Amino acid sequence: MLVANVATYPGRYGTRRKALESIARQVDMLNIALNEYSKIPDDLLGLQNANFVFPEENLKDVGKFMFDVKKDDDVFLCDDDIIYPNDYVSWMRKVATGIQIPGFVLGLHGVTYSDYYDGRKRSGRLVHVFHHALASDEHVNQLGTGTVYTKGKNLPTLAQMHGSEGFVDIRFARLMFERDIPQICIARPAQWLKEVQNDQTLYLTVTSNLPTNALQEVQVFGGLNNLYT
Amino acid sequence: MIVSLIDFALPEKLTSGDIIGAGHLGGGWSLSHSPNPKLTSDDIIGAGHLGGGWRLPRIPGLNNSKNDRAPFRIAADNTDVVKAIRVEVQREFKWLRLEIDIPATELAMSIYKYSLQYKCLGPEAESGPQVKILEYQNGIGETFHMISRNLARSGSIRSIENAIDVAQAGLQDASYRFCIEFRKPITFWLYDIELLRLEGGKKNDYNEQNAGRFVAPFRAHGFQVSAALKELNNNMDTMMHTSPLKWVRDMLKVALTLEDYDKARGLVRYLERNYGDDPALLGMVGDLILNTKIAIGETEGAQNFITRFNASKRPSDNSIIVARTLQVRSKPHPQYDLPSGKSDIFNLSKDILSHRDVEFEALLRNAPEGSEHHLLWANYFLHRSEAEYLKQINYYLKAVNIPFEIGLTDYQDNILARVEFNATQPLDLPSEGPLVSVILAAYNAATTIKYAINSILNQSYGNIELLVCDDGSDDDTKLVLQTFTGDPRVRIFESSANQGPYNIRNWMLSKAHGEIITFHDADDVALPHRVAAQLQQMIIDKNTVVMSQWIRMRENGHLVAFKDGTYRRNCLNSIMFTRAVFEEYGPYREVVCAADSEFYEMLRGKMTQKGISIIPQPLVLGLWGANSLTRTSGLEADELGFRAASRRSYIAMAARQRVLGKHIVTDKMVLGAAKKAGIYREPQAVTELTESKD
Repeated sequence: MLVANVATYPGRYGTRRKALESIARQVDMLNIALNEYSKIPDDLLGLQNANFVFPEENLKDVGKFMFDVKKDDDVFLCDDDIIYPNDYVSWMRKVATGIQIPGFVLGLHGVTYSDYYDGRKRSGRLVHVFHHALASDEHVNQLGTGTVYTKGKNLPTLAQMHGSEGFVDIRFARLMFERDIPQICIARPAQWLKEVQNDQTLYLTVTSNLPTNALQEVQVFGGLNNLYT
Repeated sequence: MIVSLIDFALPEKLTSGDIIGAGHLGGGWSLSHSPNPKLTSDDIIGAGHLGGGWRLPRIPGLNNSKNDRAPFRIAADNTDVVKAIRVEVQREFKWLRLEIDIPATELAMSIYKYSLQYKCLGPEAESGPQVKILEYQNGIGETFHMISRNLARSGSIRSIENAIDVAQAGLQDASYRFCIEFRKPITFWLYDIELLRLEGGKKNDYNEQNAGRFVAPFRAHGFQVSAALKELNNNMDTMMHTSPLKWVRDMLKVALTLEDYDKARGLVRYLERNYGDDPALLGMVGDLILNTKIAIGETEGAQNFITRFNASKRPSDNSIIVARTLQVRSKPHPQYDLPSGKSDIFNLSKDILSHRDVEFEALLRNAPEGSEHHLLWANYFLHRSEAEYLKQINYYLKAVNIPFEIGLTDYQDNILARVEFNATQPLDLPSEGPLVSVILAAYNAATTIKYAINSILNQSYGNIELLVCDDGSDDDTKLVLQTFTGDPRVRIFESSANQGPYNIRNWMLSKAHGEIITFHDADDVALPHRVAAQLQQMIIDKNTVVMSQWIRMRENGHLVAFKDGTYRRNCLNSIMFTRAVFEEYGPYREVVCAADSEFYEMLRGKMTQKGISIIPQPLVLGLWGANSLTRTSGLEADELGFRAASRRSYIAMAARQRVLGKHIVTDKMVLGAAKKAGIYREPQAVTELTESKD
């Protein structure tokens, strides 16, 4: 089964529909974690293959890990602010068949850290931004969980992701590293995926570049020295 | 608690008449645009400071003047009750920025509140005005912290309050600007911006001079790798696209300098995987790869690599030396000659030790320049003539201005037990002064402790107390120590259980009476003027830390040469510092090996090179014996470069803490690595056996 998991919240009302439709039409089921909702918001009512779940607490981006999937399911972790091209799912699956590494995770937004990364956002990181072109597949330390494709058996549990709100990519990467699952950022043309712009200032929120515990998790798997085991 | 407030005043020089152009706006504000905004000669753009700090690059030949077709205008606007800056953006830009300086010292790792009052007219677009903090280094600005990606349009004045968590501090070598960035046609009124720091910032206790601001120590202090690491991190994204092999090579150098062999091994794996067949690999990183393999004990891998390396056009001195040591058959190279034209003193010295047939002519041809050739000759004569052996050592001591020569008493297995010193010239050193506490930890040292203690008691400097502690020995160390109880300078302690030399040091430091502290090992000999010479150097240099050097001897008298062909090394055991230094930077880590290296490297990074005096003379003769920590099974650190796994993991974690800070690599993590490696020791109580003077 083709499954996509995504988490959303009221702040994305008005901008997410196009993004969610773009992935919904390519999978059998679109699991949507509705943070901060008690009923299905009207802008999402028309999504035919959506499975809505209301987290008991605000899981933020960890919400996309709250769904049960089968080991053999093809799972796509998505974001509600990315427009996925029509061939996204088919192309990712096609790429997967050509990769000769058992047990892997594919993605489009990849980060490789410096071997001594001190938490600075503009320093010590090699970033393959998902809407930029990438000439060839690259092993990376970390994939953005808005563009991940893997098998259900590789997906971390909600308990494993607990506490990583705001840095799910890092926790996900650490868990994959600890299980020796390579993370590969795949080649693509520029603007294959597109980002939906959102106004982050509508809400009084605390945004963090990288909390200390996240930075410490990066030390576990980050660096070129950790790319090949 | 509000600890800081930056209330950005509006530009001073703006008038109600439009100023078309850019530059400094007064009050710290400036306006700038992307380097190539495709301006035509019809677009009249001014430049210069507009008051308040706003700026825009100057376009040659054009000045501030009006033009209806200008791509943007900026003006003071008093049409609302509150004064505003009005920016009219009339075409698309890659970016057009209204900026104002923020002092780097104001950017702590902390929670801030920023408030913005603005009005914004124009079509709704995905690329609306952004609010961010920029970091400028070498004239290039990049986003330091994104605050808002897309300000909403609003025909009336809109107030925003937003908490932001700045997770990194400003750097002293960078500059920072608060910025509103435009890309699409829009009219924007700015009424007020404030930035409030709500917390004192998280203190990084490894980085006191930046209290309240977190920056990794390597960015703030002079650690050996600081400059290289800063450059590598800052340029990673660029260099990994343009010259990745160079970047990885330089990072591997950093890892090896830090003795972080776990990371070095991973980097070598990366190199071999990505550049395994690239001829550039050997030339650029061959030695680094080889040293890594040697350090981690991958002997077979090292042998295979050497075969390839030495078959290449440019084998290195290092690869030839290692090939000889590991007896790898490789491209013939004349005996003891090296590609650089130097001689392979390391293998020559080893061959003499193992009684290989080393030709007299080979020594003549290869003896190094400078004073150390005497040590090679001493090794040569060791089994031929004791008199010639001594003569060569004394030639050496004279050549390096040591005011003593050595003699040997009756035969004993360990030559250091036979060493005696005779002055060759009057000492021009202080014999009295502040009390110097010499700390000595002894574990199973019954055969060596006597000469080690005597070498301290025979110091030319008079005001010494020696604190010696038996660290739970199984042999007769304690009995030997009791023979010194009559000397009032000697204070004897015993540990309730074996706990390692660095726990003992920490204990003894709490018991010592001296304001000046130094150490001595239980199997080494200090030259008679060691304490006086170090103390005098401390006074001359006005420093609080001083260290001397040593040469290492095997029990049979053979002098140990290292891979770089030299004999003399800095002697960490000889470190001497004021009590205040220890109180600031101590204690030693609770491990059985290498804590002195960690302590010294930390001092070296934080006090700078000038703050530590090194006397470039061997003031200690060290035993290169099986009982030395560096020779103990499981803790080895040999002269070829091998480092035992247990030693490696702790040293690596401590090095990471040193450069990244305790904020990222906590003490718990370092001790965790030590515990996992089995080298952590729980501190145990010590008892003074001599009458306490406390």
